Amino acid sequence: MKKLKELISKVASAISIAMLITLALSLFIGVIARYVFSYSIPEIEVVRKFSVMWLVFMGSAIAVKEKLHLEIDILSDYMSDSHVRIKNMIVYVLVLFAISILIFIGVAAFNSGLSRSELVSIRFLSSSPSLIYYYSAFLVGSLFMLYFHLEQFKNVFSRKGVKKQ
Amino acid sequence: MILLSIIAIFFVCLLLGVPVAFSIIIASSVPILLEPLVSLTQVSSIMIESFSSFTLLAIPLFIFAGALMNLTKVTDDLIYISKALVGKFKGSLAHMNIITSIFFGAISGSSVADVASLGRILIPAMIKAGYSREFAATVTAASSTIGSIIPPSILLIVYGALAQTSVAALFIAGIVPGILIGITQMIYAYLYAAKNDVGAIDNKEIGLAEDEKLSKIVALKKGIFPLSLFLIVIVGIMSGVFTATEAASIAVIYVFIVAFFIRKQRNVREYMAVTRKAVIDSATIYILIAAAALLSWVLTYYQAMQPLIDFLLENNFSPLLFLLMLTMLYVFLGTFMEPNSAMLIFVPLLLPVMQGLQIDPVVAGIVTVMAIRLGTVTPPYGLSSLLAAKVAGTNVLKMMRHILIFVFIYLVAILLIIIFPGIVTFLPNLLIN
Amino acid sequence: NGTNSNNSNSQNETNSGESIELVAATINPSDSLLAETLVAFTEEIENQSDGQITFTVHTGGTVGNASSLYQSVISGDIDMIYSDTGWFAEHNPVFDILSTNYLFEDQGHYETIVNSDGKLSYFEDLLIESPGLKNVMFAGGLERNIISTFPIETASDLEGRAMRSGGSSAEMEWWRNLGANPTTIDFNEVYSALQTGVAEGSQNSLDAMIEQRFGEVGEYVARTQHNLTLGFIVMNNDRYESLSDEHKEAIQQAADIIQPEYIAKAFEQADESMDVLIDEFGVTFTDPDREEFIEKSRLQMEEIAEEHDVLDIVEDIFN
Ligand code: NA
Ligand code: NA
Repeated sequence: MKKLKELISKVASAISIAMLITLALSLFIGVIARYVFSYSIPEIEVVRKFSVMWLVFMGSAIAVKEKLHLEIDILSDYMSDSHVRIKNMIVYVLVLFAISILIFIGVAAFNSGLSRSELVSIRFLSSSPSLIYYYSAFLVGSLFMLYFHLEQFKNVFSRKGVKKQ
Repeated sequence: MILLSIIAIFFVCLLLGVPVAFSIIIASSVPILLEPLVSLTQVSSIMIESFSSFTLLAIPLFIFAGALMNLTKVTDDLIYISKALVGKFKGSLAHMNIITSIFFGAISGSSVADVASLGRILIPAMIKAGYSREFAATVTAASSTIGSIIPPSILLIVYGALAQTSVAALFIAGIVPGILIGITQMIYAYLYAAKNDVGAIDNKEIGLAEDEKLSKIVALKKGIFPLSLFLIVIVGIMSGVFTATEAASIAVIYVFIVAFFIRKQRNVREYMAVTRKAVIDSATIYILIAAAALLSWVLTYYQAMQPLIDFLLENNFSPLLFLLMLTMLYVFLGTFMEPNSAMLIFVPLLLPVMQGLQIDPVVAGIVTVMAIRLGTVTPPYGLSSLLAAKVAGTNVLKMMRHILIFVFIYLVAILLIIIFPGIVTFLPNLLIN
Repeated sequence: NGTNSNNSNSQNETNSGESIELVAATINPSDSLLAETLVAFTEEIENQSDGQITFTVHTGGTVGNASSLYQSVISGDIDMIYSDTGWFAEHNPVFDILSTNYLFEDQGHYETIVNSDGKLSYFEDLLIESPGLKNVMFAGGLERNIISTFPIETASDLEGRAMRSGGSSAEMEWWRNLGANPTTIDFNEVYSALQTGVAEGSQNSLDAMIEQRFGEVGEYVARTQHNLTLGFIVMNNDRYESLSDEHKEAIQQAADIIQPEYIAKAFEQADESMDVLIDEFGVTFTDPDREEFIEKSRLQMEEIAEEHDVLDIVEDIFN
């Protein structure tokens, strides 16, 4: 069980890190190709769309795990510890709700991606790739978010879990 | 009614501490459930569309470049250089603090790193040299804002993308106001130093290895990397050779090459760690961009801004008055919200008003970013002040007197820009023609 | 598709003589010609059906961006939209042909093909097959020309010039076929790119040249008319087929009236826009020799047609 946890977390990190590096490299190659070789590579647009989607959704999943999403926490300063605990439980449920909506939106994205294909043609492929390759990032990323969020259930609802972020 | 409940749900979630992006998603679920014309497919396509902007791609790339920059120890070099420049002046440490921020701002897109990295070195040094904790913290917080005005700047990119304004023009326009803010802050620092007897400080206290006399030659040598980075990125954009996004990708590769081959940072783990941090920072901003796109669409759907636009246009609101109100609004928002979130939500909403009043989008962009960054200094919740206070071991209330003076100076600068927009527009006009 | 479970606006129970309400949408702002076309069309349908069909029209993207409107008309959440042909290629790449330049050589050629019944039926049938959209009217005729910092008299004037491209491979290939050196530049950056000389030219609608003030930084506009927009007003086909014959007839009659009228308006609007560019921006118009342009531009159309084995069909329609 613990191994699975680690594996999932590592997969999310590895994918998103690879995507950021791909993004930087592909754009850099695009610039060099244009200025040094006067040659434009339209396929880069497909690569960047692909990497941004996976970067964002996998990165967001990690941010759920590590509670790093941008938020405003003003009330905690004025609340007693027990109130903060109740507040955190409410926030936990609300975030769960938000992630569930994201999953529903992700399913819709997945379905519309299935029937659509990329408009930028890729020269070394015989037909345009389906949009599902990057639209699925929405659903997969949201499911990762759900997993990482559920993992925190114990921290929020157990007696000692009063830690403030 | 529906509109009101959406807004109420959003703010309640926000205040409770639900992440901004999730607060928006929750609020936007109301129309998904209630409006026949709003379907999940539609919502997904609006969110996904927001990832396709080429301009916004500059954000993860500048964040990545900034993360890699930590591995080049460029911060130490900038401190050395600024000491070589102003080390002999009265109140040298305060001046160094401000000048280092200007330099740092000129190579880095995000300035939150400023308080953390520069503050940790300079605040203790200033306290040792006889500056009050409160002054040291305030100078650090206030000068860190310069980085968002001087290009490259993630906030300016976000603004450019939201307001469909040239990022190149915004970048060039930010140079003069950024330096202007720096100079006004240095004047106050000089007055403070003249009144309070503050001293200079040993090199080692500010993390410089050599205890010998600072050499201009060494400073020059240390300046090669930051200067070349600045030239590639900013001059590249200014001359129109690259777009901001392309420049950002070049910055990533260039900083990596310097870190790996020149500074000989070969620890793979460290690279993974900074890249992972850049991934998280980028993802949290991007998911917010997608959520904000959804919110602004929902608000457009209910025509939420129309009454305000009609009111302003019917009452012949002058652009000047509107910009003043805009400044107040963004200072307020910046105090309570993370700057990107605030802009992502409010810039698209106010855009039609600006267009209606025919306000120069570049001027509005600089004013917006300045005001929102000023908000991060303003008590009680300004992020930069909180962070600097923590480093200095004081609190924001005690810093109040200094903060108010800096805020006043800053507001005067914004006011000058609103009244004389030429301060902002003259450089882009000069350089682009 | 399961996404239109709560569509209360358009219940699929239409008997002849019963009144029905439809929702139409476009992302074009209400004062644009394309939005006006859609509004006029829906009003004429209301008129032709003696008020039995009524419309709610959303303009200016209030109910979604281009991509989401397109998805919504497919899923049936929205009944009718204005769409350009770009999206159709997501389902069948043969539609890329309709986005190529010099599909139509000039106004006369455009009107002959578009306004004659059934000339484009090959494409209309494809659309019904996948993704299930019924074309009810054509709209468009808005022209694209080349704005530049140097005068263009012939296609060879473009040799080696840095021309702005929006990043689509089709646009890049077009510039390359003309001998130019395409440079990808965001739409927001075109003005400063022309100003700094990063790009020496760009191909845009006359509207964009005025609204984005490109006329201030580009001295010349070559009236190439290389692209005359061909837009489709489409309905969800299931929705369309659920209509009674009388209602279908009303839609057809409305189209017969509105389509030629508003296409003609598009060409009139071009003349007005040209006057604005000349008077307010001091732009010089050139009238380049089209033969070479047409020949080089049509390479793309032929290439795509050959790839999908429809060369005969395409030649039949457009030659
Ligand atoms: Na500083
Ligand atoms: Na900066």
